[in-house]
Amino acid sequence: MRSKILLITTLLAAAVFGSLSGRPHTASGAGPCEREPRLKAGSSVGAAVRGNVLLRGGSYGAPGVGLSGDSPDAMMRHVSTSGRGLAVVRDQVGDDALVVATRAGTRELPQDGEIMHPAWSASGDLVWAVDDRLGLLERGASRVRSIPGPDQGAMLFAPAFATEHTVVVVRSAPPTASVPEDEWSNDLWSVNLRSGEWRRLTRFPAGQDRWTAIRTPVGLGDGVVEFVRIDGTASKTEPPRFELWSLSGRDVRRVRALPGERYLAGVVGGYHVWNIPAFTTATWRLVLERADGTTVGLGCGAVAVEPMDVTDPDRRAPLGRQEQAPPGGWRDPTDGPAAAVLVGDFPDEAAAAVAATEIAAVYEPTSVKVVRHADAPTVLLQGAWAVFLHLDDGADAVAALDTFRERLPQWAHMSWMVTP
Amino acid sequence: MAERSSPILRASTVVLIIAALAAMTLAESSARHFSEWTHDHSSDGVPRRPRGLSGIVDTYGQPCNGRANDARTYWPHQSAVDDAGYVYSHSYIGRNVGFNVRNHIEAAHNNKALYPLIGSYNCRYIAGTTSWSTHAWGAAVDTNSQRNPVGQDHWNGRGANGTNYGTYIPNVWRGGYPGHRFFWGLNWPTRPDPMHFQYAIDY
Repeated sequence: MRSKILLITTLLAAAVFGSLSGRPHTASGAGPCEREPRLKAGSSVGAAVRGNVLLRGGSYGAPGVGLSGDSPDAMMRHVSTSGRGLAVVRDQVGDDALVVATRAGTRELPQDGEIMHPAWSASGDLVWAVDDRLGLLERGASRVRSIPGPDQGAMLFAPAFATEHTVVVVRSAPPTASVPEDEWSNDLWSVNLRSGEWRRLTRFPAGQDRWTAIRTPVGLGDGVVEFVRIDGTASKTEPPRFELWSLSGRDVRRVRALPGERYLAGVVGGYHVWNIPAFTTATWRLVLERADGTTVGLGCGAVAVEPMDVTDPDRRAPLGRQEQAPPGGWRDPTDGPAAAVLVGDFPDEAAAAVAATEIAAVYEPTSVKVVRHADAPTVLLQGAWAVFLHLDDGADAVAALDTFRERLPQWAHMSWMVTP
Repeated sequence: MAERSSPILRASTVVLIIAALAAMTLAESSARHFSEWTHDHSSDGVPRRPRGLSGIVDTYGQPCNGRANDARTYWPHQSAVDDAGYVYSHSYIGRNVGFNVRNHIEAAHNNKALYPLIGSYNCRYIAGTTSWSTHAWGAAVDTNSQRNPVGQDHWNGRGANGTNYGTYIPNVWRGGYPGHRFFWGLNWPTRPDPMHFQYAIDY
């Protein structure tokens, strides 16, 4: 029988929780969440809101109990709950700590590095990632066991129990000549907790421009792990593809495409719970998806995703002169030197002249000029030719580029804003 | 009979002539330098630098949106030493990257202080997280990346010609000059990123 690891479900509305936190935040944590129905209290619930953790019901606290980050230089993130307990990362400047709450009490486990994504087994073992290795706290044990990763230089994150003795984890490969960026090549690996043997489970594509990311694996028991796969192209200005995938043993298959950006927050009663970003309000919506595809809003909060309503302590700008506004303050972007719309590149002057003629038929001819590298050494390759449409001082170059593309759509794909 | 000038006087005259010639050469060089200077270090056109995710989204829009690579600049040593290429960034910071930073380095004849790799727009995550990199908005530029990888706790200023330019490149990006003001990833408290300069803070 498939055992269920009921990770995480939901949280109280940010409006309720707001009173627990005096922490400065970057956006309202409430927003649309206030109007949505929530899961009934009584099950273990936990998620991060404004840098803290909220529990409601279950075995670990009374309704409304919260775990605070305790410090302006810390916040809670990556919340994992099960029938065995709750684990959450206290993300701090520098080394992090893992906070573990069970019926036996609450422990804090300082770790040497950046902790990510604790996850429970059905029997109460707890695993998490720290940089290039895993940490394991077996049920009833007092000491943490460190499990080295399969190789050096690779980052591990998002472990999940596939079985009682097998953990599946995401390995992010370091840059290579064929995949020049870190984080472009994610694959699932597994480790046998008894033997320490590692196995590679997936070989997703990555290259000079294409990348594959894996996020939020959730162990469902009996060797089954579901996860979100993201397939992107670095140079394209369009959202990547999000898909739900399933791993069973060594069999990996695509379950279905997802309707936009979302990450698994858990599986409850066979239903998926999703964390869906609302960037404009800097909040994570929690949504339960029924079998027929209909959804129920559960409120807001970050489960296995990065909180958006507070700044990561590791990314806060230190106070200093460089972080301040320039003397005289900020200015309007249009209150600056002249910019131009560049159309190019062309292999020779004749080809550029053809484009210039078309552009001059729509714009003031005196503002149109064929240029080469010597005319604009900071915007044009040597040997290339282009056409400049000069804009007046103070012109809104962003709007001008939009207008240009509307008026001359045949050159839209070759047009750029430049400030020669 | 005319008195001959002393050896010391003759030597002094030679030194003065050499010094004068050198000064003329320097003046000519300086004049050429300033005639090519194409920005004035004023704060004109330097837009507000957003703070936090909300500020970034308000300013740059959604991650990987169509404006995120609308501005273009040309960089020597972009993909390899002596292999130039284009860098695409968000149009909001087009003036900062092009007019202020790129032109500054060009006008100061310091292109050799650059080193591969150099890039900006990149629709990608921050490693291991669900947070989009500032590169996904075209709001950051990585420069001299091969000598300044993530995690390195200092800046390696050796440029394409092997000369050590110290912190010349970071100083151009992060200001001192009003038109710059990029945040330097080396200043993140936990995991420094010396190659990284972003036009946003607290993210």
